[in-house]
Formats: sequence, C-alpha cells, structure tokens
Amino acid sequence: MEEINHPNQIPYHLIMDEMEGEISVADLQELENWKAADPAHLRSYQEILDIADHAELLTVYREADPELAWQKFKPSIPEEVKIVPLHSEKKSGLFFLKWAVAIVVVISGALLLANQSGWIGSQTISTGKNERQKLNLPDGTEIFMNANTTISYHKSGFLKARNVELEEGEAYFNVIHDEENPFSIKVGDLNVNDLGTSFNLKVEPKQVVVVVNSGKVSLEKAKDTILLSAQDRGTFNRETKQMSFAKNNDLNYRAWHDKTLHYEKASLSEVADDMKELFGTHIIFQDAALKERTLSAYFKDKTEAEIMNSIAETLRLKVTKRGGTFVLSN
Amino acid sequence: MTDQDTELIEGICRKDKRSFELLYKGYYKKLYILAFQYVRQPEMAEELVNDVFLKLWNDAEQLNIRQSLSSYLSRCVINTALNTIKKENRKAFHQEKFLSGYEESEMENDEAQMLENKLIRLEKALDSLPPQCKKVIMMSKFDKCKQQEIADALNISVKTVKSHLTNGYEKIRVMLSKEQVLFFFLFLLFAVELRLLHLNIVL
Repeated sequence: MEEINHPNQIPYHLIMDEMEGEISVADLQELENWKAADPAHLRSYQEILDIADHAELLTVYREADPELAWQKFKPSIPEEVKIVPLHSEKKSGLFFLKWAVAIVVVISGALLLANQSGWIGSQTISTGKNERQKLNLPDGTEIFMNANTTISYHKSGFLKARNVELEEGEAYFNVIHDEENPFSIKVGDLNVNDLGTSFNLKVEPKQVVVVVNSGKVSLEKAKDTILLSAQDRGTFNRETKQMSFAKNNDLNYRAWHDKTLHYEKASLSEVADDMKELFGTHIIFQDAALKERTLSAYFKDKTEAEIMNSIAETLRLKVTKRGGTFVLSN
Repeated sequence: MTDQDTELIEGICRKDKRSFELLYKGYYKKLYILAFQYVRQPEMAEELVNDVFLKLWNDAEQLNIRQSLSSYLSRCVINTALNTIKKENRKAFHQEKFLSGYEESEMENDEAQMLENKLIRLEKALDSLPPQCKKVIMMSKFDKCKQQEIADALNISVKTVKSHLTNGYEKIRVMLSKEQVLFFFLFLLFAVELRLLHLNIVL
C-alpha cells in the first residue's frame, strides 16, 4: 500500500465491475465522466485494460506447448513440394498421364520441337480439363495455371527478354520484380506488363480480365496504356478492343488458385455460380426465393460437401444430396 | 538475420526437416500468442501459425528477408490474422482496436518479440505482488472468476477482493510505467550518444 500514492484517483472498483460486465447504469455514467474529465484518466484506463488483457494472454502463453504443436503439425508438412519443373517434361507428362494423355502429346511435341531446333524454339505448356499446374520460370516467377490453359514462351532467350504468351485460359502470376527487365505477357493484341507483383489473368471469349492482388500492372494495346494498382480490375474487350478498369469487387477472383471462398452478403445464386465453377457442383433451389438469401462466410480448403453443410447450417436450410446435385430447401 | 536463423533457413531450402523443427519450436510460442491476441480462439491461432510455417517451408527459396526472420514472421502472422478477421467479419471488441491501429503494411516491427517481452515483464510484476493479492488477480484473469466467486472460494468478502484487485492493478501499472520511463531514458541516452558520435565524425 505504501508504494501507492493516490490509489483513490483511479476508480478501480468501477473498472473492475465494467470488465466483468456487471456495472450499473449510474456507475457506468460515473466511470464515463471520470474518463472524459482528463486525458490522463483515459490513458490510465487504457493501461489498466491492457494489463488485464495481457494477463489473460499470459495464461494462454504459458499453456502454449511447442512440442505438442509440432507433433500435431508434423504430418501436414508436404514431403515434396509439388513443383513441375519445366525442363523435365517427361516426368510431368507421366505425372499427369491419368488425367490427360493429350497434354503428353503436346508436351512431347514441344520437347521434340525444342530438341530439333536446339532448344531455341518456343515452349508450350497446356493443362487439361481437370488439371491445374504450377510453372516455375527460370527467373523465379511462378505461374499457377487453371484448367484448360495454354502458355508459351521462348526458353533460350527468356532470361534476356521475359516474354510469355497466354493463348487461352486463366492463370495467377507471381512475378519476380526486375526493373531492368520487365515481364510481359501477350494475350492476342493486348500486352500485360508487370511491374513486380501478383495478379490473376483470365482469357474469356469476349474479354480479357486482369485482377491485381499486389503491386502494379500496365495494360498496353497499340499506343494505349492503362496502369492498374492492387485490387484493381482491368478488362480488355476483345471485340471493340477497348480497355477499361474499375475497383475489383469480386472477392473470389482467384478462388480456383487459393481454394478460398469469401462472401460478404452475397446472394446464394452468386455462391451457386462459384461452386459450379470451382467444383462443378450443381445446386438446385427448391424455392426460387432462396436464391436471394444472403450469405457472409469464409471457406478455406473446404470440400464441396463441407461448404454446402455450412451454408445450410448458417441459413437454417436443409441440404440433401441427390446424385451429383445438392438440393437446398427450407 | 542472426547466423542461426540464416543457417536454419538454408536448411529449410534443402528441405531439411530437422532445421524446420528447430525453427518451428523456437518461434512457435511467441507467434502463437501474437496470433491469439488477434483472433482470440486457440484453434484458429494455432492453424494460422501453422499456415505461416507451411508457407515458409514451401517458399523458403524465394524469401527475401531484409530485417530479422522474427519480424518477417510476425508480419506474416499479423497479416494472416487481419485477413482472417476481416473475412470472418466477426464483431469482437478487439477487432476494432487492432484494425484501427494496424493496416497491412511493409512495416517490419518485431511484434511477436515485443508482445513476448511485455508478457514476461507482466509476469515478473505479478510475481512481485503479495501472495494473496496475486492469487486474486490470477483467479480473476486466468480462471475468469467473478469477484463473488473469488470471495466465496477464498472465504473473504467481496470488498476485500476489490481492494486486492485495486492494489494489485495499481502496483503493476506503476511498475510497468516506471519501466517504460526507464526504457525511454535509455533510448534518449542512446540517441544522444549517437548524435555525439555523429558530431565527432563530422568534426
């Protein structure tokens, strides 16, 4: 007690009651008055809350057991990273044989071509209907290819001029920045120039869509250029050849890549579209009004069944699976 | 980065599990508590920290760490936590506090180390309290007992519980703020020293 100069200055009894959530209206008013009376009061108040909060964290900290956590964590460490190196086409061909024999043909064709022209010819990589693949380029850039996607580039000169062509499909780029040697992707008439960043690039029948996750990207068509920053969405209309951009409001533009679906008050019909694209899930709404129900949710690495059950639980709906189709009903 | 960290990261690049294990165990506790401070759920905090470690394991070759590994991992944990909170859209009171104070940034403070230091200082302060006073605070915060429950368990009056809490919190507050003042002076001293050094060089 002797160390404390003016213990009565701070109304501890009120703060303690407030922390417990059992404070009367009159007391709360008294506490608020005291807090408002002097900025120093507010500071002391905050210090006390911090101490209380940290005391709580201290318990959790003491109980944390790295040994136990490691034992639990160990099994989830991948034995081998699933990188498909570009220069071992044979291996990658075999690896995906069960999915699409056609790819092997294309790749071995590319291999043959590359061999014949002394590794000078262009390298073409395609993914099949249900195949996703990661490309590691010689400069360290990563390209995650969605299904039905074809990418080509010149292997021999790549480090000198970093040019890649996206012929069709969708890919997520993680580009290593090099000011002196820009990274450029050609999509028909459009050039997408990267200034060191990550972004998603999708070729649709009528348009090309770029959504920037971080850094800056420029879209270039003949003499026109537009510059995109993080969270911008740029589109190139393939018919009118016009470019435009806006803020991206599709939270799930790269769901196919990071296996993450995220909704903020999204309608169920929107969710159903994403599920169809991501898993091929077919959802039937027993009552059309259900399509307008809204969902706020976050799913990461979940299976389609897990997601459907979670949606049903959140919105108190019934979900039944018939064949390959999920039926949602009240 | 410290030599030891550099060595461990090199090991991880070679996919050496032993290096990974050492690094994991060395950093787990403070990263876990940092994550917990944000998400407030043990399982979620654990999962989040494991995600950060997995990313380290998978992408170690591409890492370009400018400052310390610890700052880098702290930043990863905070960014992942903020994303999780934003996505979960949970309206906890802590959320506002953190979201207003922090945004995802390039800033590389070693938040995990700072939090760990604070907790260790608090633990010392708690240990220096009279036994009964310490016991009351422990029960109120560690076991989340209400004042009445503490009074019943220790067979004392609620009034006494209140006075223990008051004295305890005030002592801790004074102790910690004294330490802060000390740190501040040390910092000032250091800054002056640097200044002098600088002047010397200029002269």
